[in-house]
Amino acid sequence: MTTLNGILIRQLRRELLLAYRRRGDALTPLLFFIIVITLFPLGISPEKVLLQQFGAGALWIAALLASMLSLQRLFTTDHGNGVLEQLLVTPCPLSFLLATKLMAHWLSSGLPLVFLSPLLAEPFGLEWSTYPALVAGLLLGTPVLLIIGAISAALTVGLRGGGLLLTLLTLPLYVPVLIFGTGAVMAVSRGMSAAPHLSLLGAMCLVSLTFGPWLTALALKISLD
Amino acid sequence: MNEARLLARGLAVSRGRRQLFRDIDIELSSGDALHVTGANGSGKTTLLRILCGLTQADSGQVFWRGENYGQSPEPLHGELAYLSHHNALYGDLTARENLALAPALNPTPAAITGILNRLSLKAQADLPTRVLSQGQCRRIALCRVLLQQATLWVLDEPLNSLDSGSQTLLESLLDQHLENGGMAVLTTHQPLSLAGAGQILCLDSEVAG
Repeated sequence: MTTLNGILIRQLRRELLLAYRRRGDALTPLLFFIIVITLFPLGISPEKVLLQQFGAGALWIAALLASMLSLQRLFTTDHGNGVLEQLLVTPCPLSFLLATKLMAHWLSSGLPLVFLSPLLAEPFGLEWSTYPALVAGLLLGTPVLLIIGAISAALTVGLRGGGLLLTLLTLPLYVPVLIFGTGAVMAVSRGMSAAPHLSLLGAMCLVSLTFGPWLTALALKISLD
Repeated sequence: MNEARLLARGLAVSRGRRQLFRDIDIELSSGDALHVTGANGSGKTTLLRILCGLTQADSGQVFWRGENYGQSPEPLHGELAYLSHHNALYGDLTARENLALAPALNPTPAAITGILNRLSLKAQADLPTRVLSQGQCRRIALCRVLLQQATLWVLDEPLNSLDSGSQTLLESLLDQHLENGGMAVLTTHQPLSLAGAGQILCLDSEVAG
């Protein structure tokens, strides 16, 4: 009747349909990403030599901040309308349902950001040869950012002023992703291989995909008890 | 498989220093209904959440088909339909989409149409639920309970914001569910007239006693 696959497919379809109906919500972080990036040349220096140097860092910092924007909404709506409680009594491990939800979230907010990044790297004068490292880094890094954020969001769901706490919890944990993400681009522009940085990002990605949904489920159960 | 039966032994819960209830025993077999009553804040919702395995009692045990499910309620969840205070509907989705995509259900489109008609929601079926009234949303949530075809219904204030016609309809649906061998635990502030004699558990007296 209700197989595990069926449950997860319905959950995925529901999340994607919701993302489509709330297109504006997914667009906001993208616009934010673009605006933050344009602030760097305005605020620091429009000189090409300088731009080339901090371009990768600026892109990554903007990606970090943009992916934080939608975190608070990740669980608060579902908490308020009672959907989270229904997920808890669904005959399926909560971590599977959450993994599906996070996948839909990444498809609607993380992936567009990855595709947008080469377009925004162009004005910084980043060399063409660095683009694969930038895109690959973001492709591996954005799921890590989302999963770290999801664990913190699950811990702070239902708290008053949870939004600020969420930011404080999450940002320090984003640091390793930032370091290796920019490191990959810098390495290529210095004529070295991006492989070590990307391998480390890939390892982080695998670890968070394996343990992230399970930890998020644990945190949610604690928050909702 | 063991006979469908819900058992609770010696449930006690306190919040802070206040004891909500203690020594609660529940025994429900096929066809039984339990009506939990009590003043606001007497612990009705907490008791229902314990029975659903959403939270744990300070002491006491809960059994489903003879198995203690306090720590791992998964065996119960395949046979449980839970309606909380919240309707668990997305305002951006229509009534039909909300029912078709609820992970725990697997209804055919015809079944959804049938149940929506039965709860007189035909005209609202394809409207986003954010434009519907409280009572209409409550009825859609009841549609979800019905479509789940679960053995045990746990309903927290199912009559909230329902008109008198819908209340009568819910009573007849409950009667039918119990006749088919189902079980129900529910809270209401309104008197409920069911065909069979349901058990009544008043949480106020437990504290006094």
